[in-house]
This record gives sequence, C-alpha cells and structure tokens, in this order.
Amino acid sequence: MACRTIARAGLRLALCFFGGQALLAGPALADEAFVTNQLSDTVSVVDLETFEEVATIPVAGKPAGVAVSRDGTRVYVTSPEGLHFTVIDAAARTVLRQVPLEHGYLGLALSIDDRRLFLADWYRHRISVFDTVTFERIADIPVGKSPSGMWVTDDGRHLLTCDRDSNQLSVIDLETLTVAGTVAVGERPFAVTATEDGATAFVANVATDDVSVVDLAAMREVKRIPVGDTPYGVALAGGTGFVTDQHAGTITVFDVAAREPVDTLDVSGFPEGVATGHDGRHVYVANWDLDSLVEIDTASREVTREATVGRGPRAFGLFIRRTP
Amino acid sequence: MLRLFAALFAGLVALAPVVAEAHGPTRQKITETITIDAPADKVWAVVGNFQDMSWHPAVEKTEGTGGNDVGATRNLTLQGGGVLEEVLEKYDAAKMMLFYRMAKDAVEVLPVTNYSSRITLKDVGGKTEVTWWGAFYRGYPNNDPPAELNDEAAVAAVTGVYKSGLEALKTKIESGS
Repeated sequence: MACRTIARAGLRLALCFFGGQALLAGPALADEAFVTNQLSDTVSVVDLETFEEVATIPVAGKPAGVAVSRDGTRVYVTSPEGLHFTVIDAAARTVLRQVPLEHGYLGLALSIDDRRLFLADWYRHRISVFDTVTFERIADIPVGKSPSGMWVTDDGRHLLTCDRDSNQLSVIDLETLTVAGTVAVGERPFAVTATEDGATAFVANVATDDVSVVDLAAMREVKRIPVGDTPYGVALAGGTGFVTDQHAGTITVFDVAAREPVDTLDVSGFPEGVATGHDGRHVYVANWDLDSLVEIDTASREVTREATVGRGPRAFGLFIRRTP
Repeated sequence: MLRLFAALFAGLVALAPVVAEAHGPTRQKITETITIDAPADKVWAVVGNFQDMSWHPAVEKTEGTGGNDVGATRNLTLQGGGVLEEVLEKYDAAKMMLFYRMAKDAVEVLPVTNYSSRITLKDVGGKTEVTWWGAFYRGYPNNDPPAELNDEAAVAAVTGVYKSGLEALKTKIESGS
C-alpha cells in the first residue's frame, strides 16, 4: 500500500492506493515538534509540514526537558525551577496534570512502551522513575553527579545517563532498575544517543568539545570525535550524526560508521536540543539565542527552514511527536 | 558603573564560594544595542581589539596574551578592584563579530556564572549599530538564591555593564578621542 499526503484548502488528506484504487483515509496530520521555551514559560507546538508554530501551551517553572510518548498522545516536560513535572495531552494541547517533584530535574526519557518515565535529578544525583498511569514514584536510582541527558536503547533494556559532573555514562538495567555499569567519557557529558542496534553510544562532552564513542558491549570509550565549541546535543539520522555546538553556533555532522566529522553547518546563535524526524529526512534544532526551531535536511546537510518559537528554546530530549 | 560594582562588593563579601562546575537552573540572555555616528571600521578598530578594553569605564587595565586569535586570553582589572578572566572563542573581522567567555566565574566581581558574550557591529547607512549580547546563569547555582545572586541581580548587573560600556564607546568615538 502506498500513501501520499496532499494539502488542499488547509486540509491535509492521505490518499492510499490499493491496487490502483485510491481510498480516502481521512485527515493525516503532520508530525509536530514540542519545543520547551525556558525563558517564556511555554511549550511551542510546531507543525513540521508548514513549519509554523500552531499552538502555545503555558508551562510554569522554566520548562527545559521534554519527552514525547512513542504513541504520540502525551508530552512530558521538566521544569527545573518548578516543583513538578508536567503531563501534556498532545492532541488537545492542554496540561493534563502536574506531578509534584523536587526542584532541579532537567533530563527525562520514556521507556519503549511509554509506561515508565525517567527523570534526572541534577542536584540529588539520581534517576527518579515514575509510572505513567498512576504517576506514582517507583524508584530513585543513585547515579553519578548531576545526571542530565538520557537515552533508552531500542531494545528497551537499558537507560543511559550522562552524569555530567562525574564525567561518566551510567548504564541502568531497566529490569532491575539498578546501575549495571559506568563508562568514563570526556568532560561534562551532557547528551547521549545510541545506534538502533544498541551497540554504540555517542556522548556530547560540553567541556572537551568532543563526542565520546562508547562500545556498550565492552562498556568502554573507544574513540573521541572532535566537534565544535561546547557541544550540547547529539542525534543520529541513519548513518549520520548531528551535534549542536552551542558556543560555535554550528552543527557538526559526523559519519556514524567511520566515527569521523564530515561537515560543519553554520546556524548562528546557540543551537541546543536536537532530534530526528521519524522519516530520518530531517533533524530539528532548537536555537536558544535566536528563539527559533531550525530544520536541517539530513541528505543535503543544509538548513532548509526556520520557525519562530518562544524565548530561550531548549527542547532538551525527544521532542518530535509522531502524530497518530 | 562604579556604584554598581561597589554595591555588588558590599553584598558579596560574606558569601561562601560556589562550586565551579555547577550552575543555576535557567540560563539568562540580554541584548543591548546602540547606534554610533561613525563608520563601522572605525568602531571595529576600537572594540575589535580583544587586548584593549579601555573603552569601558569600569575597566582599569587589560592584560592578556594571544592577540585576537581564538584562544587568546585577557584579564580585566576593574576600577575599584576585582579581575575578570576572559577567553576569546570566536573572532570574525569580516563580519565584525567577536565572541568570548569568562574563563573562571568571579561572582564577587560580576554575579553570574558560565558567562559568554558576543559583540557584533553592523553598518546602517554609514553609521554603526553595536549589539552586545550576553548569556549567563545567575551567581548562585542552586534554588532559593540570595537576592544579590538571583536571576534579577545577574540580569541587572550585566545590563549595567553593557549600557554603560556602549554609552562610553559612543561618546569616545563620536568625540573623536
């Protein structure tokens, strides 16, 4: 079956072809970005087809971290200066509830089945685990100092945490909710991603201006990829990696297999949160300085579009919604 | 300017040192702009020299190494005491832009941490628009900061530095000194 989306008179329809016959499959909505605007206490919803902000959701407490559920129904947001994390109904663009929490949580990630939420406690050096149905706290897992960015491996078995002020990556076993091991990386690791096969993790090191390549089977760092000044985020799109170099105002592009930098894109400002669209054709970058969301074509490696969002966008986490 | 720093010193002497690697929860940013009635290259000749910040009334002395190369350093000794150590991270003479950061937090001098700054010049019909931009966290890295180290204090202090600096720069260049 082949489907094609067409836009006409403001309404998008998906046409699906069965043996030459076109069937109307109802409105197919574009995927969306949920961008946390830390300085305006809002979350911007950006339509990734028109590339315009289509909604703004107030979220108190300087929202920064974000995780969209894989089923596309919910968005979770941390507010480091608030005493809560926020649960958003993605389709309705409304706050479903705010769950009480100590201050200072930044990074967050969801289990593969969306049932558990992992929140990184910057000040108390632990990962708090919440049930996403009951919103009860299941566990607090001690890790290294100031855990920040996190990543759940595609097999759902491990949670990787950047322990920023311990210069290490922690690997948490999600069955036992205990730390299975740690790996020394560069200085001030802040963000992490991993290949689909779960073999390799890439860790952005803010202070050493490089990306640690970690062999997750051997549990050791095997290489450093030099990137631009002050790397804050990293995302993979197929065989290519994209790193936001915050102070340089650039995106370093690297080859995932060769583990070498291959290109540098100028975006100006302070690029921060970066995430890959679901078809892998684009990555999206929050530009904290310029109050915008930037679209980058992963094949041509060019900045293709820019959308204005709120003040000081961070979008730290998996902020792209696959719209059901 | 002097009053600003004097006021800051008075409030900060008794504070315990903060952990260098930590920073407050929310990064702040400010932008100050001024238009100077002079060609951009003339303004760039002054602000484009990373090793001489004498155009700023709060700066008593600039000592550094590395010229205008990326990685160059300078120590700014301020009127009334206090030193800020800064590192040049980007320098683009063609675009008339320089970007630098504080090498070491000095909240007793300026109540901010993780401070970085950018000065950009733009030709506007023969005049020069100078934009001074700063990004920083407040001086106190944890929640419930004392008033002199909160977000408002950080924004007020940097805004004061930029406004007074830009006004002095304008006066200096327009008066031809």
